[in-house]
Formats: sequence, structure tokens, C-alpha cells
Amino acid sequence: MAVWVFGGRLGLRGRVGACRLLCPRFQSRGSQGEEDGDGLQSSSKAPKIPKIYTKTGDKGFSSTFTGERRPKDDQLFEAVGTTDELSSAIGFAMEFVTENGHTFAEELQKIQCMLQDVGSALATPRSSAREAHLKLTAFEEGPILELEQWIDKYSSQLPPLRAFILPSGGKSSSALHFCRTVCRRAERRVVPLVQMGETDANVAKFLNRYLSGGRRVSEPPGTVVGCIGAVSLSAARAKATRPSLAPTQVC
Amino acid sequence: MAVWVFGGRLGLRGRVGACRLLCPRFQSRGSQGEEDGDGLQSSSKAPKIPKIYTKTGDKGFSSTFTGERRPKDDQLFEAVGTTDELSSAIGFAMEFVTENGHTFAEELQKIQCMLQDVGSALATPRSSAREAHLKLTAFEEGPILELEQWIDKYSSQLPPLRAFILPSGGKSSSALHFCRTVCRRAERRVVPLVQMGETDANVAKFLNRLSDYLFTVARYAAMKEGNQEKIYK
Repeated sequence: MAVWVFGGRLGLRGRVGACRLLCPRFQSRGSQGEEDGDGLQSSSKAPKIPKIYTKTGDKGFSSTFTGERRPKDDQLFEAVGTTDELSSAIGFAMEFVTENGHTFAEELQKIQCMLQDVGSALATPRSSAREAHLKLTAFEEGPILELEQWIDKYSSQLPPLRAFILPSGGKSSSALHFCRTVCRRAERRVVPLVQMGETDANVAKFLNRYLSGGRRVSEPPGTVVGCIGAVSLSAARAKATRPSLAPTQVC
Repeated sequence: MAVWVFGGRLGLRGRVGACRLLCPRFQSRGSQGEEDGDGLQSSSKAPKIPKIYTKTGDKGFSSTFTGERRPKDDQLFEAVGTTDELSSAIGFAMEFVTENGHTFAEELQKIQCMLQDVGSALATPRSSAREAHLKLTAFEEGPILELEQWIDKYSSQLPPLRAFILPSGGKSSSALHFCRTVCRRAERRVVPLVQMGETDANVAKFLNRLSDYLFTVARYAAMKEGNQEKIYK
């Protein structure tokens, strides 16, 4: 089936063919290979509601944005899927964040949109991408800079860290800590794709790991992980200032 | 330690030997290899309560249903463990689903049972399975068809998708979206086992269909709770 969550900048109509992974309702009717599932079918009766399950993936293969069919356990899909998992984890955390009226809820939503673009970029391997594909899914530096600004903003309001903290600090904070760890996992899945030249280094950078000459330089403030970390601490601190609520646990 | 959650159709007594992974309280006393843990001991005193930790896995190995000992990082255990993770994620999501009185709560519980059977099938690699093993743990098409019926039922009540949605829509919905992504991961772990001929293709098919179901009920939950799904911009 398609993962609806990945929109990317290809636009809904622009993803013909390459989109079976993502848009069952915009399935190509062209020569993209066999389809053994339901799809849109022309008919003179009332239009049939397209089914969400296309069965095209039942044999264990799926399509990239470039139209390649690859086995579902390919590194590319592992990276795309983990990014999807991160976005979902953030979506869940946001329920507590908005419930508690935190100002950064909007930033988290923006991050979810950025992650859609990450997914699009990952699903466009350079080895099979045409110029048009790359142009549409290139991942720029802008989102990275924006995250850094947000991190700086929250970090400036937080007391300096003087001990190792345990993931804790209330539902918003602990949910965001969980997101942080999923983000780290997503980064680990992306790094080999960057190393192989299949994905732009900005993608890994965004997920918070700078690569320079193959060495990993960890960057405490930085990108999504740093941002989520900073807002976790911020959420925990906000909670701690309210009466009778547990502060962040410390080792 | 043993993963109690996998019952499957072997039944509690039927898992002698092959079950150390799953049922420490029914450990084989036969020739399945060394056991360096606690087990049941006959005694004239009051029966000893078996411990949940058997220590048999301390050296990094665990047993399949067919009695094979394999390292814990074997693809088989990765697939079984991720299926367990999926069932747990669904269990957590169900807390919000039942809290909000959704009718599909019962279906989710049935799916957790189906996932037990998925785990049993995965833990029975064809390369070392006897006829009896395969018979007990075969994964049929029935659950897949049932999922499709459920998907059609809810889809018919949902407005058509006109944009890409972000995982959102309330606690039930976002928890179910998260389950969907774990389901996708479970499928990615199962696909190589199917390719190698170790597991029936129906298992991968089921997980593929299940992610569609989870997506559908995530949207359905948001709609029923009157929550707006956020859209990609």
C-alpha cells in the first residue's frame, strides 16, 4: 500500500508512476510493470471508490520515486520507513504538547512537513534519478538553519545541564525524548545512503549528524535531535514550575 | 527471558523443547541442550514458584519453535521481536481507542491474537520444521480477507483523501499512525524470511494489509472524535 504521509514537493499529480509507494489513488496506468491490485478503474457507472489496499506490495517489492522496484527490506525503504516512524512519534507527542499549550507545537508540525520532504529525498536515489526528479526532491539547507534558530531560542531559556538526565519530566517531555531516540535511529538508517552517494548529505545533517570526510562530528545543538532535545527540556522545565509536578529525573 | 506473548496454535503443552523462547514455565527437561537456569524442581516441600528469568538466554542464544538454537540477532528473532513490538504498540493505542469508545477496539484485540499466530509462524522456520510443526503454525488467508472487509467497511464512511496528511488527529489516531509505521517495519523484517523460503508469503501479505487497516482506522478515529487531520504544506 502507499504511505500517504509522504507528500514531498512532487505534488499530488506529479508523482505518476513513481508514486505507487505513496499514492495508490494516483497510480500510473502506464508501463510501470505489473499491477495485481485494485486501482482506479474507468467505468461508465458512478466512480468506484479506490481501495487503499492495492496488493502491489504483497510480493515484497515496492517502488521508489524514480520508478525502481526494490525489495521492501532495501536500505532505502528502511530509511524512508524510519523517517515515517519519526513523524508519527512526533505526531503522538504533539497531542500532549498541544494539550499543555506549548508554543513549539507549531514548530513540531512544521518539522513533520520537513520530514515529508526528507522522505521524498530519500525515495529518490541518485543512482536512478533523472534531473527532474532531483530538482523536485532536493533537500536544501534552509530547514537545518531554521531548526538551529529554534534550538538557540529554547536553549537560551534553559539552565545549563550539570548532570545526565533520564528521559522523564512529564508526558510531553518523555514523549519528545522518545521521538529523539527514533530520530537517532532514522539518522543511523540514512547515514549509509549518504555514504553511498544516494542521498544528499543535508538529509543526514538535518537529522543531526554532520559528516566531514567520513568522520562523524557530533553536534550537540544542531538539527532535529537537538531541537527535540531542547524542547523536551523546555517542556520539562515548564512542567516543573507548576506546583506538585515531578521535575526531570536525574541520575 | 521468555516472551510470554506468543501462544499461537501450538497450545501451552505442545511447545515442549521448542518453547524455551516462549514459555519458561513449561521448559523441557529433555535433551535440548544445556540449561543453566532455574526450572521446576521436584521436592517434598511446597512447590517452588518458577522464576520468569531462566538465564538460558544469557549467552545470547534462543530457541525457535523447531528446537533450533540460534543467536538472538538472527533475522528470525528480529522478525518475531518486531511483531511483538507491533502488538505492544497496538495494545498501547487501544487504551486511547477504548477510552474514546471506538467500535473497532474489538478488531484491534483480534488483530493482536492474529499477531500471536504471525509470531508462531515466524518462529517455525521451514528449513528445520517437521510436518507437525508446519501444520500447527501455518498462516492462512482468512485473516487477510477479514482485514480487507474491515478496511472496506471503514473506508466507505471516510471522505476521500485529497491531500497528504501528517500523522495527527487526536491521541487514538496518532497512536494508530505510530502502529502503522511499526507494522511497516515488521513487514520489512519479514520480507527476507519469505524470500528465503523460511516463512509463508501470507505472513508478509497480512502485515502489508494490516498497515492499510491501521491507516484506515487512524483516519476513522480522527473523524469520529471530530479531530482535524493536519495536512502537508
